[in-house]
Amino acid sequence: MPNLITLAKRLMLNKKAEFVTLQALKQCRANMVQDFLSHNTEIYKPSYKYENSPVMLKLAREKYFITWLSSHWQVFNHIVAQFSCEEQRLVENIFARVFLELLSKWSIVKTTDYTQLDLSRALVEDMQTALNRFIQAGENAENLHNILEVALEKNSVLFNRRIKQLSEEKL
Amino acid sequence: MAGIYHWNKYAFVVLTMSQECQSKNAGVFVFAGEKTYLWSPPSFIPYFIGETNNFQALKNHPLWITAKKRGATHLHTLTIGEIGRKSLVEKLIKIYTPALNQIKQFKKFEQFEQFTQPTPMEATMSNDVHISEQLSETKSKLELLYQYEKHYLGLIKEYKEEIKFANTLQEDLRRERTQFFTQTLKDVIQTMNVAQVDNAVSAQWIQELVGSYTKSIDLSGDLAKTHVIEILSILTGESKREASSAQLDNISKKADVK
Repeated sequence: MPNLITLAKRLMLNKKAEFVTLQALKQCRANMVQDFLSHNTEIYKPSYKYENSPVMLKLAREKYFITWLSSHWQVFNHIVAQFSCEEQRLVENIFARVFLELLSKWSIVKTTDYTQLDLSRALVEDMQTALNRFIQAGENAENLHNILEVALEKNSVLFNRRIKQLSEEKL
Repeated sequence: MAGIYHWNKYAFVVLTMSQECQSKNAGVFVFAGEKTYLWSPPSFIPYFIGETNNFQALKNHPLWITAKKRGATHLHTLTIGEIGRKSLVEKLIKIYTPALNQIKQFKKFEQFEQFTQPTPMEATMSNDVHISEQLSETKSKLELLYQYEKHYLGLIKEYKEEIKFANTLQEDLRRERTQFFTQTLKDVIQTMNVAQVDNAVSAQWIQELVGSYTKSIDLSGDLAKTHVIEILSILTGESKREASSAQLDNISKKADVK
């Protein structure tokens, strides 16, 4: 009987983690669709502005989707905000693995796409490295939290910097 | 025409075991094996002596096959009334000591010496006794199977909510995917058209959107599948553990009996 209880508890925790992960993924998908339907400026503005500049347009697209990718962590954090610390730690670990898997799916496509800008690849790699370190650290991941957050947050800034740089070069 | 063979001073009708015995009389019978000699008439080795209330029914006798396997080739019958039948059987057994009457550890053979035409119920019962060992083994296997199934059903009941949850996850994902490709995508394309985004630009955005959405929903599907597999492996593992412990119990029970 105790065996069953342990199993049930394990299942319950895993179930919670999986549910939260699925919820975060679903929420991000819905956000993405909503961005397209609600004329999000990150999509529509560059679509007009750079319609004759493929490189800039590509950069803008990459910026949007890389930002969308990194938004998973924020969405996840928002969902687990009410959880206890212990639960957060367990759920976070499972989510980090799934998130890493999503990045891997992304990077497989991106690395075979030779027209791909280096920046996206570098940023995805950055996020992967940060996530890997976070997962490997396990219990001691506390101090790596910030590194991960920074890796995820800097995407937008770096893209803006690159867009600005390319625009200036054109001028 | 059937021959006659004397057991002690009693004249028995001789039939081969492959012949159909027409007589429905009651009396004493012998399952015997023929022994032929070059210079003297054939004699018989008795394998089993018993009594019956119907010679024709002897083919259903529980020892018919056993006797044949041991070498019995003939059935000898002697019609005799109920009085004196039992004592004659005892007398002949004492004189000839047939092998199958002598196997004392098979106590149940004693009841076969008085073989009466069985009612269907009696026939079933005597067959049950005959195959009791096989039956008990089968029973224990069935018992094990029953325990396994019972435990498995118990686990399914226990994890009913988990199974429902896993199923709901899969269903939701299927529904979401269908919704995306049949409706949402149309809405997005239409919105971009209405917003007068250049078709080529719009197509690139849509392509990236579909790619990202598909990757994410595929990943969700994998996760939901993993959940199902985990539940299944827990259920299977638990059942196997239960089955092997039941098997051990069974073995120890058998050892106790021995």
